[in-house]
Amino acid sequence: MIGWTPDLFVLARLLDAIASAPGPERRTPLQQRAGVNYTVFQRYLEFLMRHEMVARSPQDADRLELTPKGVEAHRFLTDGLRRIFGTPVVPGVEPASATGRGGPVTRPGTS
Amino acid sequence: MPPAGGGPRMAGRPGRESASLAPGAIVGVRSVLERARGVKRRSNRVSWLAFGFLIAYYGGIVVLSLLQSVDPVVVTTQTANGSSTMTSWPTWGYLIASPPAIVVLALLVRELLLGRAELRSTSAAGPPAGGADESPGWTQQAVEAQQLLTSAKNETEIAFLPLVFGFLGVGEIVAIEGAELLLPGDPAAFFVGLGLGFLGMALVWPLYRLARSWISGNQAVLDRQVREVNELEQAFLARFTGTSA
Repeated sequence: MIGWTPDLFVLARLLDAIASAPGPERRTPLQQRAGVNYTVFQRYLEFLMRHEMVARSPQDADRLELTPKGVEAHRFLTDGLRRIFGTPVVPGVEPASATGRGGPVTRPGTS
Repeated sequence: MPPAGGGPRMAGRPGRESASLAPGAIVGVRSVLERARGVKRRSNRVSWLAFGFLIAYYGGIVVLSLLQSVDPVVVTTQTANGSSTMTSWPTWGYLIASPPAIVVLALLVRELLLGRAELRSTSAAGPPAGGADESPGWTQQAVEAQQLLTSAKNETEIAFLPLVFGFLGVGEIVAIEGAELLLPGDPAAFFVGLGLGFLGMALVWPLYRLARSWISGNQAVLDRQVREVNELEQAFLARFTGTSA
């Protein structure tokens, strides 16, 4: 991994895929939601886990979820990308800021 | 791999709260390339229209010459040595010969104005046409966008050669006709004609400025985005991985 710099946008997609899951999620749905091939998914997932942004769920080790650091990283990237590229427009999806929600949500009693 | 950090786990969040953020930014990435492709397509049209203007203009001259042989206008000028007679284009011939060049020139100006309007609009963040790519490859797309914009810039600059030649002809006609109209038979008409000719040619300058501002505006936007993405990348890696790119 030395000398390898991850693509910021792939990281953002992976973090976003995990963040947008309704709960801890298995790898295959996450990979499909991120829209990257499995090799890329594995490489980036390993990177995110190594840097403690993504971890296995304590309830089910096959499922993955964001750590607090991952939530922070997700927000950092998405806010940064939004600042650079303007207000994101995704057909059929209302921007988070428009709903009044958008801050990281933690499980009750875990934060 | 052991659980990271041992800290509290975050539950997955309701999808609609965050799903619009990164995908939206990725739309922005694709739009960079799409916009550059749009600029390239438009510069291509500008190039074709510029050559079309040149052809239409000189085609118009040929038409006028043909009309002159059909319906010559005889112009008699009194000079110190007597009078001289020459034939000229029929005035009504301009109504036939001019419209193609004017229309092509108007289309060219329209392309440039549309390009500038696109640059100023917020359509850069518009939705993508197709589905998600497997890998956006920002660096690769930014490089491709830069290449496309450079190519568009070169193409547009080359397109001004036929425009200059076309306007040279316009200037010539304005000079000859204007001088004849203002100072018939007067030797000073040459200088008046020269001035009018330069005025006619000068009309190409605002078009050139418009084209340059359109292309360089797109380049400036792309350069800014590349710089800011690099800064974001550096900041992200430093903050969340403790490394630098």
